[in-house]
Amino acid sequence: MAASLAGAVKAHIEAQSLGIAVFRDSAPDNEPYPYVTVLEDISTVPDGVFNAYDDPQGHVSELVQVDIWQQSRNAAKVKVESYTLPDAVMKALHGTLLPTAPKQVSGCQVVSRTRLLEPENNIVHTALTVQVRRVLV
Amino acid sequence: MSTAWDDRAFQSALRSHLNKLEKSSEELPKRMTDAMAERARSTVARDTGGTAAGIKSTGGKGVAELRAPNPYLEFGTSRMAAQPFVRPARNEVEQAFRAGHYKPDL
Repeated sequence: MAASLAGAVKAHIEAQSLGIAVFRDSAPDNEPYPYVTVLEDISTVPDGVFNAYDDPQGHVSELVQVDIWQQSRNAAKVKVESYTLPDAVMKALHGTLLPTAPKQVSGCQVVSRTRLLEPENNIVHTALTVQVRRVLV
Repeated sequence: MSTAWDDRAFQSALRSHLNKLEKSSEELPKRMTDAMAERARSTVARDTGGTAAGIKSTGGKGVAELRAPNPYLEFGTSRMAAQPFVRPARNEVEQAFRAGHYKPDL
């Protein structure tokens, strides 16, 4: 059982055997690319389909950002970005129930995916937004 | 013996209500993106105020769009943490819609 939702997402991605390191919030300094970071609770609001006065478990909709950080080109200026890695991470998260989550999860959906370039840092950043429907207690 | 039924008044009232419902439904997406824009402007990290000023809600009949500048602030970079302001606004308004807080006016 993970201690946090980000921990459960991290464990779930690691279980896919993608050969990629996953960290909560941010990666350690000098961590080699590629790697994934998980930022939980960018927004948590009551799930609108439940009646506020008849929902003892407290169903919420929480947004989690999963970032895939890759080097764009190697020292020889050859493109080294993996185009399959974001697909694999997205596939792993879309529809999962995060079995190690600390609270019961009723569904995960990848609701957006954005590819951002940082040419000055030679980095490709793919940001996935995952909507997690879960309970508070 | 014959019976006559004149429902012209009923049909006229029904048509009037349906027209009103249609007009109100068409305005709903714009009302929602206006609410998202207001929420995003109130939470965005401010330096010069340029990002907040660039958050725009536009729309017409049945469609609306929220435009926000600076995706690097929303999603972060390798050297700066993400400071989301659009997605939280959308999550709040979407759940409020699901809860029935946004309805066509009748």
